Amino acid sequence: MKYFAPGFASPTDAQGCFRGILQALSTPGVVVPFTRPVGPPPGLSAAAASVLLTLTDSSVSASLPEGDDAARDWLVFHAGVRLAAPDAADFVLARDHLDLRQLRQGTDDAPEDGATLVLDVASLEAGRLYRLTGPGIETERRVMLPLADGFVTAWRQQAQTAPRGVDVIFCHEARILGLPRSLKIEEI
Amino acid sequence: MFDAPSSLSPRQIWLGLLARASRERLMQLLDSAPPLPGFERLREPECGMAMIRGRMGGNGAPFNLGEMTITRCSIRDEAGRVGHGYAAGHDLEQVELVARLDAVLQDEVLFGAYDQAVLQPLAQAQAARRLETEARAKATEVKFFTLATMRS
Repeated sequence: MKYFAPGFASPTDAQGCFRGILQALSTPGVVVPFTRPVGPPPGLSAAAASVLLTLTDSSVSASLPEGDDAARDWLVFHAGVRLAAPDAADFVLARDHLDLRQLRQGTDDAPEDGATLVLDVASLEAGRLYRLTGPGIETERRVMLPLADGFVTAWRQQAQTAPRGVDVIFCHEARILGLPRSLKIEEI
Repeated sequence: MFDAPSSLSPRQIWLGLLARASRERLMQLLDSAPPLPGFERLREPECGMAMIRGRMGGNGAPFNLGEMTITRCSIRDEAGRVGHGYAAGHDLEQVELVARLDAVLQDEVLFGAYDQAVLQPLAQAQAARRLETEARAKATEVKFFTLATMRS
């Protein structure tokens, strides 16, 4: 039995979420709330469901973890997205940190083909303190981030292959936090 | 004229009947049927375009014939039954009625009542209209003979 549930109540809700994602990726490290998120399917937070439904359509592919059948049915029904393996997908949903190098990196000619990792985490504030610098931050920004061990190392390695790389969006409840690939992350 | 494939499922048949019926006709037929259950929209009624493809003689290479307007809607009723409606044109209320009917028609208990009140009259009317069109076409049929046949 397939899972069915409504999507965005109105196109302007999706536009509001798109604005929120732009905001999160242009002011890295700042938590951005969605004012009118979509009602999520079982297994997804409202923020992760809103990000996926806002950004995907039939021209891109997405990867959702094994066992998230309701979320897959829901996203395919509303967005018409193609499902793919994590190493081939444009958008990858995960709850635990994945190895960034296993995801699509794009090419020097088409860096936009790099994957976007949507991380549905238990909290946005937990974890250690980091110093963020780079585009979108005037001097520096100090934030607590729920980064796994090895993430900063992988992030530094990814910076060496710029403009190729992966963008990350952290999601929890109805709030998101963006880490675009141009960002520099240092542990304090 | 192509013949419809004989392997159509009952659901394909009733969705076809409903898609060819106007909103006024559906509402008129529903007057004599039990009231449709309450519902929520999974996908709001929406208009879009679909590319119609054809094959010359039914078996040539496919080609794009042109685009047509289609409208679709998906609903879930109170009992959790999911119905989909697709129809040509841009009548948003018609496809919502089609989706609501599709949901109840999938219920074996409710099927009988709606079959009798809605599907049967539609099937009869559409079959009659098809016969009438065929008869009109038949009246102007031209039979071609090859020269070879006429000489002999």
